[in-house]
Amino acid sequence: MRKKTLIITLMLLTTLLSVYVISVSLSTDVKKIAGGSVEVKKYNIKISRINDRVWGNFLLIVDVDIVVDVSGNYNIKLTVWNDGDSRTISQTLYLNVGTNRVSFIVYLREGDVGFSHSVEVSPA
Amino acid sequence: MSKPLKHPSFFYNLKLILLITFISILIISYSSYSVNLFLNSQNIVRGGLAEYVYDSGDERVRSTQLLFSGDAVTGVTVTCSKPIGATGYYIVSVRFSNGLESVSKSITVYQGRGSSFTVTIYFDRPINYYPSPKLEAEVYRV
Repeated sequence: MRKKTLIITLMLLTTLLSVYVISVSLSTDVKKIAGGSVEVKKYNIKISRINDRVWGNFLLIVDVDIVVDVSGNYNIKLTVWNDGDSRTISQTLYLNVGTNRVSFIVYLREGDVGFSHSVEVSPA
Repeated sequence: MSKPLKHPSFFYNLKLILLITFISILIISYSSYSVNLFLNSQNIVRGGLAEYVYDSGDERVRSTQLLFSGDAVTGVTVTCSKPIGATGYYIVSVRFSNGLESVSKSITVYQGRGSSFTVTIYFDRPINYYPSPKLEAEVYRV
């Protein structure tokens, strides 16, 4: 019977300790938010236009229009590919609220398959 | 000599206490987890990745511009290149997908001499740009 009581007491103590630790952690998080030390930002990014500038059989420049609603530095990564080759170019730029035109020098030969573009934008 | 038995209500109460304690732990853990998630997602980025696919052939799509009404895409302006002397009818097709649903539309236009032309295609219904925008555009001569 003593053994049982001991086990139950240990279980209760462990439980109480866990509750205490979790509560302290939760309280710290709440304080961070209430104290304004945590800034929550929502970025709505739109890629509104992709323009391929071609010279002869080569894609030279890709213009990308990026619409952002929070100004700041952004990492922009463009990947262009066709059936034969691909290019990935990254830039970090300051974008203003509204539409921003960003150009990438690509230099990629045209193939039998058209160009596919992938644009990745993230706050720097 | 047999041991004296405990009153059943003692065990019943103990079980109840343990149950309540564990439920409390679950609730508090969940709250803590939610707050942590909230803190970790302090930079919420929507539309960070977009894909544009253009077709191949003698006539090619060179530029596309999405037309917006707020966060909804209502249409696309497409600029195509073609051989200068190739006059005739061209079909321009676009398909926009946001990862959850998609819309597509195509139009037929007549083109005379010239190396490029631009058309604007409006979708039958607006479609939300988010969460995973992807535009496919193609042009071919009829």
